[in-house]
Amino acid sequence: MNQSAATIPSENPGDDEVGPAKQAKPKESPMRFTYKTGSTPLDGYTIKRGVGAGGFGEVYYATTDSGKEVALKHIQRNLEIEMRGAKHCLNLKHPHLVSLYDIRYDNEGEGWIVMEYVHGDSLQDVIERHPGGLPVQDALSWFKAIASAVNYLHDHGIVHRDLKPGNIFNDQGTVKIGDYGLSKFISVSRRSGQTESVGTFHYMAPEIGKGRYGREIDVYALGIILFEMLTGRVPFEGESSQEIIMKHLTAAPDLGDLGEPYRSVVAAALEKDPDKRTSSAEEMLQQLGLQESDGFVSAVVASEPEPASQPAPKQPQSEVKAKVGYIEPPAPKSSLDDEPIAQTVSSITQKFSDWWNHDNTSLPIKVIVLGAIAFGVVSYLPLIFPLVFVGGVFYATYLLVRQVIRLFQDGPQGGNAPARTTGSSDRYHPEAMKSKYIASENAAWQPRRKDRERAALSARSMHQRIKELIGSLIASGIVAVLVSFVLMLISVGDEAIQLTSLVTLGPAFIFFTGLTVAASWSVLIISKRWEDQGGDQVARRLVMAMLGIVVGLVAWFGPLLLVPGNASGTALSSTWFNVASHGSMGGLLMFFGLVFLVPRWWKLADPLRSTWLSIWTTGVYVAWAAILTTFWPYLQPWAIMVVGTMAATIQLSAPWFSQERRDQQRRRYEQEMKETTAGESS
Amino acid sequence: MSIVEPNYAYQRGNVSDRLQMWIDGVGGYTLLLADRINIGQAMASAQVDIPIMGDISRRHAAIKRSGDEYIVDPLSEVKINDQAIVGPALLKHGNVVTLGRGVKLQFTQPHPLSTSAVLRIVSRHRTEPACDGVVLLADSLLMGPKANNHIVCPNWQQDLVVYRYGSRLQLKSKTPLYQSDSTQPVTSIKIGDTVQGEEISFCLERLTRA
Repeated sequence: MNQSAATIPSENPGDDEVGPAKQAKPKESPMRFTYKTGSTPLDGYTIKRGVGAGGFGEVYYATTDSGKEVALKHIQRNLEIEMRGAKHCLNLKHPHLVSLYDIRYDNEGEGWIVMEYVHGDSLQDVIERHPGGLPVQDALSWFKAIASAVNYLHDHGIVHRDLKPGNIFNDQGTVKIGDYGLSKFISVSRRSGQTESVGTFHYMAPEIGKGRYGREIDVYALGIILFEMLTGRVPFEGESSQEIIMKHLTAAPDLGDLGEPYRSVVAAALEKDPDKRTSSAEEMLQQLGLQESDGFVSAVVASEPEPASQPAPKQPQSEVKAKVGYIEPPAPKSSLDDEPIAQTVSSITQKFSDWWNHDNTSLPIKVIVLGAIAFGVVSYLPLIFPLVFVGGVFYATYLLVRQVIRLFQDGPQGGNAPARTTGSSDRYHPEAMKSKYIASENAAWQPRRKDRERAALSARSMHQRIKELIGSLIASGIVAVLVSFVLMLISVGDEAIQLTSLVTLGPAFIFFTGLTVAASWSVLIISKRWEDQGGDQVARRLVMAMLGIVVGLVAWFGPLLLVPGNASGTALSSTWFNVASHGSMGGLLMFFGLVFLVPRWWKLADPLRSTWLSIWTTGVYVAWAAILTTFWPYLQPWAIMVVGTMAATIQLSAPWFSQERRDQQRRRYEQEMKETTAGESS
Repeated sequence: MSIVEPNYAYQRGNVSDRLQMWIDGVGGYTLLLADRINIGQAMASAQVDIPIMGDISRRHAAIKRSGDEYIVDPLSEVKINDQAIVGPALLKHGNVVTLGRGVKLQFTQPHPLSTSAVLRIVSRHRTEPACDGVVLLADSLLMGPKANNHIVCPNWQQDLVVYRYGSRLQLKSKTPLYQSDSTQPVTSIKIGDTVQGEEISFCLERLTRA
């Protein structure tokens, strides 16, 4: 209930219009509560109704036998951690904090937190009633109370970590902040209730992704809340959690709607770098010209030394970091720094130059060595050149593969790829938490089976995924050889098995197989990167088209390489196919570009595709290639065959999960999500 | 002249005309079925329909339903929209009734097709036991996500209608709702037993007088 008449007129008929905050909220799933009205899981408390559900469990409104109203929080997950957190806060007292009364266990050993029941609207409700922002005086009185309570928590060494309007209430005129002392990675779960929505992400400081949970994240949330109260909207809005998180990380807030001093106060609180941000809630209050509110007895308290009203001493940076479990991101390394071959080569070079520049090395010896090298290079040039070339190509490929693997591993640099679950301590690695978080959120958003399965995919370890990738790369090589051979057999008949065919068909076979392998490897590698998330189709198609152009280049240069000095490529023309008349480079590039642009090639390598090898899908790819070859008739029929071979090879070699395995993986993942959602307790 | 007999409320004896509705995820509402109700201070000796913990008289005001209209009868100091009234006055949708020094109740009749009205305390006071609103149930009680329901249930996808049928309360809903072990969907609500459906869960309890 609201105290001020200003907030009343929401009940007019037809006044069901809502502000942007409400529109951003997902359709919430129905709430079902374990305990019915009248049940008494705890001695002395009678449950009246369910209030809401959070990641930790359900919240009930209950009364004691004598009529005291309480809220009962049933801790259903992470019992130990939650209980530790709650115990820590059990005796905190502040007029603007929801009081915790007791911690109890029921007969089944399940934990309950008995706490103050807060009547009235949450700040979220109030903001929704004021789509254009609260009156400034209202906003400031809310803010004063909120910041005072946050400052009190900080003074007691506790970071709230989940400040948001949904956790802040107006209990008959008194502002109350709830949900402190609970582990925070839980406040978003698939079980959605009153206190959860995508809104949770609207208040999340950017450094949370790095695992840094200092007081600064509360200051950041205070900045967002102040902005939202004044304008009726949050500074960073988005369709998905990823989008919102990305904006927190990179976008500058648009503070144009705010007048001074609010603009600069919010700007300082929303500083991306926690070290540059306003350092405490109290400082924010001072910037706004407000006094910390100590509740109803402030006059009495003011005469006593009150640590909360003094500026918090600046702690040494390192101690703060240690406290909050700050993890320094590793310095980005250049790709060659730790590459073993490059290291060996450079160490040999180093040794050689050491020897060369050493005083004891006499001039005649140097001259002899130089002469020998020069002679060797010149006389063996025809041999050295191909060796160096082949070696270079191999090394480049190796570097590329290595780079791709590193991309997988360095999640943050590579975008939002999932990361390893290894951490320095027994805690969950913050990055892992983040990806789980996102994945779980996705699951909450689109609880379609496929999406949940895909979310489960992202939880697989890096190691496993690399193993899969390497496995499918090897498999694709073998499959390409086999499929090409079968095709050759089919089209040429028993001529293929004769010894002479080695000369006549050999180069064509190598060309055909090589092209298939090149194409399928690149598709496999790229799809591996994409497999755990849905993504922008246009962007993916463009990347694929680019890849197609590269394949086209390979197709054009292939015959030249295979038969050097014989560019007309007579050896490659055979009864099987005629690569000789392979026409213009432009034609080839266009053809392969279009072949890769239109169908979704990455779907072929998706572990969640409907069948392992779909003849139908392969047929579609072949048909598409056939349609294209009508524009470049000289590509018939070999180009159609090669596209078909590529499609079949990719499907045959990419991992595929049966429905059974998908379910199993999804269940395991979802179970894990439930168990490991707690980061730590404060 | 008072249009309300002062002692009417507790003379009726059978008190099933006061019910508490506990709705999971929504709130607790008092349902008053009588045509005349009394508002007064919450204390053991005063038996009123809406007991408020506030600085008001033991019996401060009465509200009478007359056809489609509600009339407030001041038994003590009462204002409507800050205008003091001395005799019975008509209540209109959105009116704020002030009792004594500052107990404020807002009166709403949110749905044009239902005579039922809702009273909500908008000052810092509370009823005893506490509730989120008092429904003066005439013919029907509309519950659902939209603002023109008597009880707004923001997270529901559908509407629910509870209506009076003789001496019983019945319900109408698009999806079936069940009570106790019965496999038959509920039509007539049993007091004291939770009604549950896909997304809806509520329970009606008899309220005893303080």
